[in-house]
Amino acid sequence: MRKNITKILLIALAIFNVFAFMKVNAQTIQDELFIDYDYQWWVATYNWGTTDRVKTQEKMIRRKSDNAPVYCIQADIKLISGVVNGIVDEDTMVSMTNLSKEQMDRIRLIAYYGYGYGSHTSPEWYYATQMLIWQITNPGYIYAIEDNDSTLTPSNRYDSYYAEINSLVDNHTTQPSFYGQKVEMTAGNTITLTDTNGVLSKYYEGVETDNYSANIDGNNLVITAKTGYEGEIMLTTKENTNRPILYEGANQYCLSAGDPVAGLAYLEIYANVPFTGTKYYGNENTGVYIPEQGAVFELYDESTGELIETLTTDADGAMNINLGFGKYRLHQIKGIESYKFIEDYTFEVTATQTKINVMFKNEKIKSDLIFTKTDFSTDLGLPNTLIEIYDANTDELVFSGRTDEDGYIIIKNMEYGDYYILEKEAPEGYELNPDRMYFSITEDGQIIKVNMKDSRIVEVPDTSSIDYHIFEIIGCIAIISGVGMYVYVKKKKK
Amino acid sequence: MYMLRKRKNNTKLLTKSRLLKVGSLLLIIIGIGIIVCKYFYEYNLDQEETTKIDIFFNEQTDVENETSSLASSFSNKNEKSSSQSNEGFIAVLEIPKIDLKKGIYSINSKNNNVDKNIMLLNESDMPDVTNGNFILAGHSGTGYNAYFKDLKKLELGDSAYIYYKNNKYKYNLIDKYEVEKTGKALIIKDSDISALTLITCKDNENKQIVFIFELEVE
Repeated sequence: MRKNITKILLIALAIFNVFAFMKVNAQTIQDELFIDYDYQWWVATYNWGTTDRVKTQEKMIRRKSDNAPVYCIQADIKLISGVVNGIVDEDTMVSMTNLSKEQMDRIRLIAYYGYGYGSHTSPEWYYATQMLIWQITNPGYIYAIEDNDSTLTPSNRYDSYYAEINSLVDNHTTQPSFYGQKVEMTAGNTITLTDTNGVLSKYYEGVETDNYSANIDGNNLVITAKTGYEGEIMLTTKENTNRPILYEGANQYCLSAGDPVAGLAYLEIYANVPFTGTKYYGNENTGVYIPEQGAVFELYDESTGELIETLTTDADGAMNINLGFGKYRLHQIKGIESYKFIEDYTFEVTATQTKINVMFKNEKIKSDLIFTKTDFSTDLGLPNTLIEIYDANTDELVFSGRTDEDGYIIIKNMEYGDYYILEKEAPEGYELNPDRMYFSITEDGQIIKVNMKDSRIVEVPDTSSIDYHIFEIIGCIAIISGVGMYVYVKKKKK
Repeated sequence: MYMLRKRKNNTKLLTKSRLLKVGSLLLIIIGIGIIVCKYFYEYNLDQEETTKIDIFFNEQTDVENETSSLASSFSNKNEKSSSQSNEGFIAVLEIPKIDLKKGIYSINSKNNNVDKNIMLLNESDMPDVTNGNFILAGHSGTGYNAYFKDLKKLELGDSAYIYYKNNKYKYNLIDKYEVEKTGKALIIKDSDISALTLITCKDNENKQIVFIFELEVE
């Protein structure tokens, strides 16, 4: 026995030098480890090579430097006064080198998910972890464990511990069923995702940012979008911060039980922002506005120009859509005929928003009328022309006035409609135009130009000239009279 | 006594007969004189017109300072223009088709009278005014002064000329229409043309005819 101990110590010293890079802090294994007598339990094993059941009291081993739990690869290795002892049968001693990679990987994971992982802080977790390791390194020899019962009556007291550790190990690489999914939701709303793989317990209970919260509730992940959000939600696996040590008594060296990379479970969340645009029509002077139903808008992606959706306002004048991040442009294509359409409305959805409410108020279409009265022949403006403007549908007089010195009448903000102009008094020297001149106001902000031309009336003298030949007649009468008189005198003389 | 009375009566009859003979001869002479004077007067007018037209063309180069628009004439009606003082023409109208060639007096001339000449109307522009309208009125009918009596023979496309300030303006007839004789006539002319408008009466009707000529742009 002494020979064996000496041999083990020598080997341990040699291995220590070789594996110094493995960050074994102590000069010797013995200096590094100690027995924690607060953790003791009974274990029933079979003697190696026999069928006799042996009861031994096991104790927890820790590393001095950090109290990290140490698990023995070999069953029933004992430290007596800080010295490795108790190797029952050197021939059956298991060395790490005899274990397959799969076995070593599993041992490392068992140690990782065992005592010290998450809420695994009670001694039972240490006992169960050690027993699971021995079940791999010494299959068939480990039979049962008890806390302090000398009767060694088998029980299922540790079955739940075994099951949980094994489950964690088995699911070490398993991700939640919604891993990598893209989930669409609306800012301000909450959705619940159920993990059908049942591995949510591996992760810390929740994350919370300014944009969202994601909390694990049993097998469900409850996500609440506080604002608009587009991105990943990362769930971080719980870690065993007190990393355990694997101890191989035969070779007197320690190995890290492994450092499984903390897993991240992510899913992509598109928390859209609810957009509500409400359209009203009314009169800015009275301040009375009424929701406009049936107004139709086209929503475009401002960056690509692509039509996203055609929206129609409801009875409340509202149109609703949930939008992801981006720039948008709202363009009205239909509405009450006599009222203005909105100017294209551009807006941006960002992570700072929980909702967007926009109100659109529009008044009646109005345009300015510029009426000009000009000379038909010269196009010069004609002042002082009295005109009247009537509603073409009702014949109601809406305006009466005279042209200014330049022949202009400017009427601001004439409302949508059909009208006609009548000339009531033409300027002096011009003919009254009896025709109705129609015009319509159909678009807002236009300048409607209406020109009425009057033709000039010139004063003309009487241009008929009849020559009655008065002088010729008088002359002829005089001649005839003279001849007549002469003949009469001649006859009378005879 | 009887014989003396008879001789006295015969002497009275002879004297009366002689007076009647002289009176009849006077009547014949006066009648012939009236007719001759009238035709002589009209002949003189023709000669005077011809002479003035000749003078107009001869003096074309001297009238450059003539007012070019009626506005200046209206603004200073009391100021007699050079044409007014010497009673010369400011322009001449020629319509070859009806063998008409007649001078035009300035707007303020006492001779600018439709009963004497072709009359330039107050609303008229001079021919050199862009897109203006040179408006003339003249008599139709049987009188000596019925210078426009043959306008009715004109057809669309016929030409008329205005000589004014060393320029010859050629116009083509583009429209003619009738208006009621009310002392006023409606002038319908496009605003983008320079025009010559002639107005005269329609024979035997209470209407006037308006002839619109468009300036031919070279």
